[in-house]
Amino acid sequence: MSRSSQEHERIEEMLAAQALGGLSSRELAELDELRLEHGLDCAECLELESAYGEVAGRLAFALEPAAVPKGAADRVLRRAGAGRRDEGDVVRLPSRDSGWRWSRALVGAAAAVVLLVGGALGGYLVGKPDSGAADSQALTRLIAEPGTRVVEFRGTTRGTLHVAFNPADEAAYVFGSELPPLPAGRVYELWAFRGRNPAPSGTFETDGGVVIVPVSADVSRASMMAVTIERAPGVKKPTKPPILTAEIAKA
Amino acid sequence: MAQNLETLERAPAEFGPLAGGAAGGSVGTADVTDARDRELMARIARADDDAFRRLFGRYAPTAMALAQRVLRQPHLAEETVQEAFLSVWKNPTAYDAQRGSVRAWLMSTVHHRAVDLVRREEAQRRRADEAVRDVDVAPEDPAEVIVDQVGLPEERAAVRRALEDLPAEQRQVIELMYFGGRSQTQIAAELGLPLGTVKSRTLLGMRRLRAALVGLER
Repeated sequence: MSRSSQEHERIEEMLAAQALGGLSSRELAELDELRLEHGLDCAECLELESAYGEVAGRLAFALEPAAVPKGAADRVLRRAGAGRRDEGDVVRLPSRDSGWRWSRALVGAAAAVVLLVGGALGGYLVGKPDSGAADSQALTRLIAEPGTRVVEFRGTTRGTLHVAFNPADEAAYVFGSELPPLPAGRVYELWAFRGRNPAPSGTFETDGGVVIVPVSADVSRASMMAVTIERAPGVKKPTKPPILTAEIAKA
Repeated sequence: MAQNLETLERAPAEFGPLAGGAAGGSVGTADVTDARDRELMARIARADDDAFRRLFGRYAPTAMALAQRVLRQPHLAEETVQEAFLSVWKNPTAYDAQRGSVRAWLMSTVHHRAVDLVRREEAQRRRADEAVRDVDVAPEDPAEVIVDQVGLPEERAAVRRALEDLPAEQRQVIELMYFGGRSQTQIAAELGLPLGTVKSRTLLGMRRLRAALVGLER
């Protein structure tokens, strides 16, 4: 059996158990390492994960339905503060399919910022019900502010990621595109390093490969930002080496 | 859009009963069901309250049954289902149609949360086992009438048939893992089996279920 076949056999065995919720924390971390080494975008592994996720999800339907308290749906909506979204929250941003990469549009130049804000590149991003559109608008405002810096993350995964921050008001956003989707139960986690000490600074998942999230740390005081892949909903200390880093050089 | 949904809702009679047993398992009605569910998710992404209520009404009873089975605590189960559907409302774009059906994704969302709770609260679960053994547990509040169950009895029959068709030893480990919230290691210890045996039974069982339910041969 080739090394690739052995890897797939092992990964498939773990994916089947993961879909059923049968892996311990240690085994989940082991599966993460295995898939990182193997390649997160392996089509066969993604297909296996999807297939076993589908099987496991449908096992629930073997059960007789249970009674649901009256008004439960409305309670969920009240908790969410539900309401129809204002279509004016749509923010024009570069389309992923336009061939225009975010990094070219956004790194450095004021002209790039004007293009972004003006929507000259076409395409749009509709935010998620609770934060997406608001975050998109906040990022646009941040980038347009005098003194805002944009630093690119570099690392071992495909896609682009930047951090925008303004020392004057401590606002900061991480934004990017084409990041690989993560296995179920995993999130990307941000870290702000002061010296050697990493502070957890937020987590995110990809949304069709596009992400815009606020950073819960004063980036201007950090020496470096990093991204690791952790178990949802996030951890207090990194459990594995970063896949992306950004040097926050002093001005 | 409304006309499309009405067409989809009439479709099950036209497609006939759900095919089951043979490889290729759930076709016809299930496909129509999933198309309708994807339409509801698209509407939820546009903050459509009514679409959310329809999806909730359709799948919350199964989600509740699953959470109760894993957690064995009705109030914790209710909270878990609420949290799961809250995440659906707040982040509907987390659902990726390329990766599977809406109903499987919903149940996986509930299951992950329930298992996470189980792992954190093993001690509470042992106490709950003693308290609820041989007792039927029911919620205190009046229950909603279960509506919009079109296609679900057929789905239940297909899944039960697929599980029954498994060799007993494979079914046992899969049920302990999925419905019991146990890890492979815990199952190996409980059954007095080597961990490798549990792993291989899990994989072989899931491959059979995949062939029966997802219609793919390996």
